Amino acid sequence: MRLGNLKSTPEVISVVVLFVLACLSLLTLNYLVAPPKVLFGRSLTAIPPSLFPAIVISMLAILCAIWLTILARHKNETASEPGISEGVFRALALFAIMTFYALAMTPLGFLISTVISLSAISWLVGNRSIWQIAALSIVSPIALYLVATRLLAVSLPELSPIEFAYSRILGG
Amino acid sequence: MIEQFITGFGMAMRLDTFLLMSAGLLGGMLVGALPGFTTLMAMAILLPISFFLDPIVGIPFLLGVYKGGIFGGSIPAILVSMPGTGAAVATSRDGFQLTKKGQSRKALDIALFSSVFGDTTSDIFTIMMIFPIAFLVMQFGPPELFAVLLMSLVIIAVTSGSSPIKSLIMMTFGLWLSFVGTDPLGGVERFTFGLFDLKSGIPLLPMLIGVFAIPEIVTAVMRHNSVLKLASLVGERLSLAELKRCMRTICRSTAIGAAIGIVPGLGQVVAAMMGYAAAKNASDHPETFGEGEIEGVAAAEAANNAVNGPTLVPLLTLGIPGDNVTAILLGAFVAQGLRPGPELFETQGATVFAILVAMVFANLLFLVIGYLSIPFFSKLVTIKTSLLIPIVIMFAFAGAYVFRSDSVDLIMLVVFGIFGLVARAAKFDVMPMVMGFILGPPMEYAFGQTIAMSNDDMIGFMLGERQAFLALLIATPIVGYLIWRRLSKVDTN
Amino acid sequence: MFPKSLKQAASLVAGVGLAIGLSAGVATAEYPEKPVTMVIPLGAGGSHDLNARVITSIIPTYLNQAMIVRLTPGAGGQKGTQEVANATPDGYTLLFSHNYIDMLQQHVEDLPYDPNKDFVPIARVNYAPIGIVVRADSPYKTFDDLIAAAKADPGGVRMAHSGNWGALFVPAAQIMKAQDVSFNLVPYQGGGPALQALLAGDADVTMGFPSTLGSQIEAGKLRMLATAGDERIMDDVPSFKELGIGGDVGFMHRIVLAPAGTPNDVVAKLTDAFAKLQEDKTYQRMMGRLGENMDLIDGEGYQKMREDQNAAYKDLVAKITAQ
Repeated sequence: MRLGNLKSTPEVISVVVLFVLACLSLLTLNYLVAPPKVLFGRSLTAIPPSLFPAIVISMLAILCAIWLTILARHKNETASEPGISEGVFRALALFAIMTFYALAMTPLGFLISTVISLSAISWLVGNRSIWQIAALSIVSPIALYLVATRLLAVSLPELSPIEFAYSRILGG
Repeated sequence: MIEQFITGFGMAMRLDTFLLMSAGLLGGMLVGALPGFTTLMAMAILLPISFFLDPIVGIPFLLGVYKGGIFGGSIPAILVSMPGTGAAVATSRDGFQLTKKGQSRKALDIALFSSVFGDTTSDIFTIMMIFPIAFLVMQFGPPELFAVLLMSLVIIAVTSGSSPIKSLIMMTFGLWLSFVGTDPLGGVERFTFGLFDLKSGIPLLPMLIGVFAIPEIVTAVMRHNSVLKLASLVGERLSLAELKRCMRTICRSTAIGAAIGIVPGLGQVVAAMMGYAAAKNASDHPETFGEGEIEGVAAAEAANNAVNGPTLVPLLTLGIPGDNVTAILLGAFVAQGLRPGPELFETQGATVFAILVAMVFANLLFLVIGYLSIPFFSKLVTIKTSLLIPIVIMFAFAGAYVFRSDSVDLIMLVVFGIFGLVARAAKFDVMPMVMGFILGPPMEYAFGQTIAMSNDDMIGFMLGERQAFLALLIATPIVGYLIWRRLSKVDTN
Repeated sequence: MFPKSLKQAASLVAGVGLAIGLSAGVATAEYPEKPVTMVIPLGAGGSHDLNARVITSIIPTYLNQAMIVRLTPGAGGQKGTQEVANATPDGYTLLFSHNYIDMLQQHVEDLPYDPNKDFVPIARVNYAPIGIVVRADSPYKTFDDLIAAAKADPGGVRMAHSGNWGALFVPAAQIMKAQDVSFNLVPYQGGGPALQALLAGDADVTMGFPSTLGSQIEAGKLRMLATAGDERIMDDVPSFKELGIGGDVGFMHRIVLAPAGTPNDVVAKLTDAFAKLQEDKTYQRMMGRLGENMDLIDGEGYQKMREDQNAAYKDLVAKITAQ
């Protein structure tokens, strides 16, 4: 296999990463998949739990290898996209806020975490009207929470004091 | 039989039936439009209400919630690329492209019309052919299910992307992700690294929102313009000429959907993907699929709704619920003193036909309700992004949470968002991955069942008992090759 | 994920804010002051879901608060169970489970909680007895025919069940152990698909709840060979006890559990609410329509049964999984 024509495009890097992951998993499959359980002296299930993973991951490794080989043989057209560095900061900031939101929803409760995250996102996407931001990020989580818990009877994480408050205000 | 049908038809013509059905349709549509808040939840909550209603009112009410909910799921899929179920994935592919082109109203219109057409046709077909279908259902067991799933995956791989190898890479990766957790047959841990949070596997909804919606949101945020809108227009309504152009596709998808509905355990996901693949394969311009082709929306929606009729057959004729939705309907039937099973049509024929007739009318009613409400929904995308994006993110997170009530799922959502962006940068289509992920566990399950059934004599089992299974297995590579050849010919032209 | 102190700080801040806002409110109210969440560690649409919908639509009359259902399926029921085990024991988070998840799983899996120490039972709401069924045209006319066939051809009789260590699997395993026979256990995703496999001829025998099979039996499609318990459920079908299978075999108990450490007055309030629920006419009618019984056992009474189950399942698992 000649690797001469392979350029380090995101495409090639992803496939190489997948290839390496697949090979490593195949080598360590016995540690990653628990052994089958036994019932009446024979296996509890008709196929061992590692059979399907072994087939699929081998296929993945083979497919990655084939694809890299084809790419290395052919002159690949360099259709590199123009870099979109302009908005990268905003994208990173958005992911930071979303990560905060994901981590904070249970400890801070739905209302507080949503107010903080929604205000930050609104600011990030260019809303500078304080009233609009406040209205949006306070009214919408309260409305969604009440619809979810009272009408649809599913629960969202919320702090006890806030739940008590909703109950009292609604006269429950 | 005919007499009972006529009596039943008369029984269904009641004002309260129609009023509650409308309420159910509207409510189901609104709940279905919230990702994570599934139709199933809405039906389970409303089930006790139906206990207190007359059977010819209560059950059509639940059916209304169900039908409204399925269409409701297509709304966020089309408007903000946020499919809430696997069945809406195929719809969002072309639907969201249409929204970006400023044709969201047209996309919703064709989705509505195709859903109603697919559903109505399959319902009528089911009412007329209920006993032959009941016989056919019995011919499909785990081996056939495995073979059909395998064939579906092959077809999805060859039709979805530009390069079948890249699609297959993504699909096998999706299958791999589906192994994380406990294995479906024996319950032993795989790829969990000893983490309890991974033991119940990777959740579907955070994956769907993460790989389909988050990259779109991030792209919109990167463009940064506070007055920017997702789409500036809602566009025209669907024209009659466009509808005519789609009619062939809609009919084909309806037939595919109804056929898939007969195979127990396949369901809407496979139907939508197969309908889409068939439409692309039959088209003279397959390259427009995925770029905002109304036929793509029509194909997916007609097929996934056409599944509904035949899935009711095991419930009505045998009293066996094939999935959770039919399990709730079984609860509703039983609570009304209608015990589904072999005797149902003899003892309660008129009532059952009344319910089935009401179901057909529910579709037609929904055409009106949907048509009137689409203008309101389609306007959502013209809200400026500085207001729309925060709200969409809130719904995404709340939806990802309520799906399993687990905050780990929120982290999965963010991780899949990053994954979706990486895949986009590397020009990989995430659809085959999602399909591999969804169809992997049932395929492995069916395979394990097949091996167990064969009792260590696979060849004898296939030749002696399961010729259909063998035939499907042999046909799979041939079908895959033929479609691949046809599509690659069109590509090079 | 987040340090616990931050969580406490956040509730403190929120609490102070509310205290100011609601200083006119009542000082110490009685449990329950807010909706109670009932976690079901199983999927939507199953029999637990349907039962819970009936309970939660009526119990607010006796609790004076809403009861919210939260479905937390995953890891064979461990996910939802763990969530309740870790919840604050204040009576606002309850678990609606069944005996196999509750008492059997600890013997086949490493659980992230201890079911014997982390829970107190509130009520056994009702139970479902199982029966052994075959097709009407099956060569097995009686239970003994079935056992004889399984003895003659070990593994040759296909038994469809609803998943490993589930409600159909455990009784099958208990029968296999008691009679020293071996079936070919083929898993299906639920009791419905297992029954369909039986009717389609993919399986030779399965288990099912007599309440849901009545119509098939009357129509002459199925034959019941035996039903669980000491007493006969159907006049012409022997009970497990008559066939020499005694004890708590083949019953699925639907139970409500609370995290250990729940205050006694809260437990008493809940016990009382469930007792009143049984007297409610609407509840009786709705449960009757679902074909469920209303045989309530209070927490104390069920705790004894739990301990017996624990011992019986431990013995069962040790015997049948021996290498």
